Amino acid sequence: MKTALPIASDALGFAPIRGMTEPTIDEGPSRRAPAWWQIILVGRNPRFTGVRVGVTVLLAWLVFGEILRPIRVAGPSMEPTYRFGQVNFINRWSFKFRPPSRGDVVGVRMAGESVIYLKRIVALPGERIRFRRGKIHINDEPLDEPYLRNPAPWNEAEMQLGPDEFFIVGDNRTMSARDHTHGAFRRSDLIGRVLF
Amino acid sequence: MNRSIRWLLVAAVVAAVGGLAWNFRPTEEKRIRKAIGGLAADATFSGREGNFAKIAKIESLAGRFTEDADIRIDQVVPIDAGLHGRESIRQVLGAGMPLLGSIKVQVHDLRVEMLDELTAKAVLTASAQAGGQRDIAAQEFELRMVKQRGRWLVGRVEAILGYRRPVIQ
Repeated sequence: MKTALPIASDALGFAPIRGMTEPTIDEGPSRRAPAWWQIILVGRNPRFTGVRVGVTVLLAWLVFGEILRPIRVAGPSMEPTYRFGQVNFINRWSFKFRPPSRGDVVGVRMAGESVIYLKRIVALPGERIRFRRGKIHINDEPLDEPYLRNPAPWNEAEMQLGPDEFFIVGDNRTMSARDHTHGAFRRSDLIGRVLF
Repeated sequence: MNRSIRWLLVAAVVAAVGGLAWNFRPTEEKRIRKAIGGLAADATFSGREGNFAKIAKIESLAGRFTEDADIRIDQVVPIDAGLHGRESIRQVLGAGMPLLGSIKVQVHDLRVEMLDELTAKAVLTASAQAGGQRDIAAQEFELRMVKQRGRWLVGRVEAILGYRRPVIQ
């Protein structure tokens, strides 16, 4: 952009020569509108686009890497509550605000968190649990489980949970107890509650 | 371009290349990871593979174990189940593979710990999906890896039960 330099020619006693334009100062090359591919790639304001991308990446990493763990159900043990192929999230921060409690559906880690169990907490640390003809008894009291459909008559010996153990089991008890992973898991193995 | 900026650029490129070379250098841990990945690849086969290909896979799979390899799964299977020696592993694989139409085996969350120069411990979750079935079976394992003649082989496999299971009556 060129700017006209104001010269007080009259004040100096010189009259401008006819035909001459007033002197100008060059402030550098003129700013052109960005090309269409630049607009597509980095937007009209690359610096702002960069900040937006950075913030989005940071948020995505924080939410999906640290707080919510996306999962896809791959097994029948939580049917009919959670069916095969359903997508959900495990909230890893859920136990920071409220400790695991009975009825929570939780993710439980194996060697890591790539493959996890999705089960329900039915008994808490220090409690005694046993299955009698398909019914769970906690400290000799039957547990009401409205989410169950046609449970098989599982019979299992009473188990005393330790101070750091939670008893977890899936909702699908139509299957054989031998084929259904369930038992006392340590608190440190619980990743968090399922979000939906 | 200013000479100092040019030198800075060269230094940055050299550092980046050096960092990449350091990152991708072959270490024993990487060799072990590769060996375990190969184990899963050999255990995976599709229904379209012919008998010769399956036999080759069985041979390759058995060759990934030491002569006196031990496989213990009685922690998770309520029977005295176990295999001892490469030959018994080969026989079981030979008998079992034709029964399965296809199977996909994957290794997840592999952790490797070097015990000394020739032995290492690996903990992992293995998942298997048999052809035509929706269910995925998953199990934690601990592997003892042994280096023999420059090759990392599986010396011991033990299934881990990471929880207390009730006694079924």
